[in-house]
Amino acid sequence: MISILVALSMCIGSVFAQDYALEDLNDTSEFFGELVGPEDFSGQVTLHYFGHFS
Amino acid sequence: MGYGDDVKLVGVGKDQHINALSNWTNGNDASVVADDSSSGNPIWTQWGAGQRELFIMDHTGAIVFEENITSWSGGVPTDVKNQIVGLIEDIPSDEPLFGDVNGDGAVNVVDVVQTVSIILDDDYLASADINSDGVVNVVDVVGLVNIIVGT
Repeated sequence: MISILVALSMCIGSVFAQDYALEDLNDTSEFFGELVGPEDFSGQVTLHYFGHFS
Repeated sequence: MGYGDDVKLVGVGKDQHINALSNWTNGNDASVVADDSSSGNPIWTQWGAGQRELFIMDHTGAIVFEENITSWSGGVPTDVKNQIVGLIEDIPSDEPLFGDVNGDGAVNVVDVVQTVSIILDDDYLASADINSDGVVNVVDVVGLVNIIVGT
């Protein structure tokens, strides 16, 4: 049954509707150099701001 | 207000503008990431994001707010601040570690087995309720596997 469930998960994908995993580029962030994304902050409120670094 | 541990800000830029990165990283502790412009900025595309667009996710990962904030010249509007505070206050105070079904401090295949057992027994355990919908079922197993494989 587990193999069926694992296969099913591969088909469905992430439980998060929108997700990403990208390197944290801020050298004053505690996650600097790590891959971060919404799933890393599960259990917290997260704000995702999209902009051009300007 | 003391909400710092319950809210996280991530800036999502584009690496084609990486030379201006310091505009965002200068001394603050927010996470800042850059989408892959050479691949057409797939994260921006996936999210349907535009320039200066803000998304807010609640503690379950559901998007509960989306708005272009170009007009926020006076700072974050009061109603949005209040919404964020409300979301923070909705976070369960003793939320278990998602997926750590057997309580050993790790999330792995043993927890998958345990979760399947809970489903077969028609039982309930909060730490196995990955999507926090009040029931433990196959959706939680899918979420748990995704946590383990890092997707």
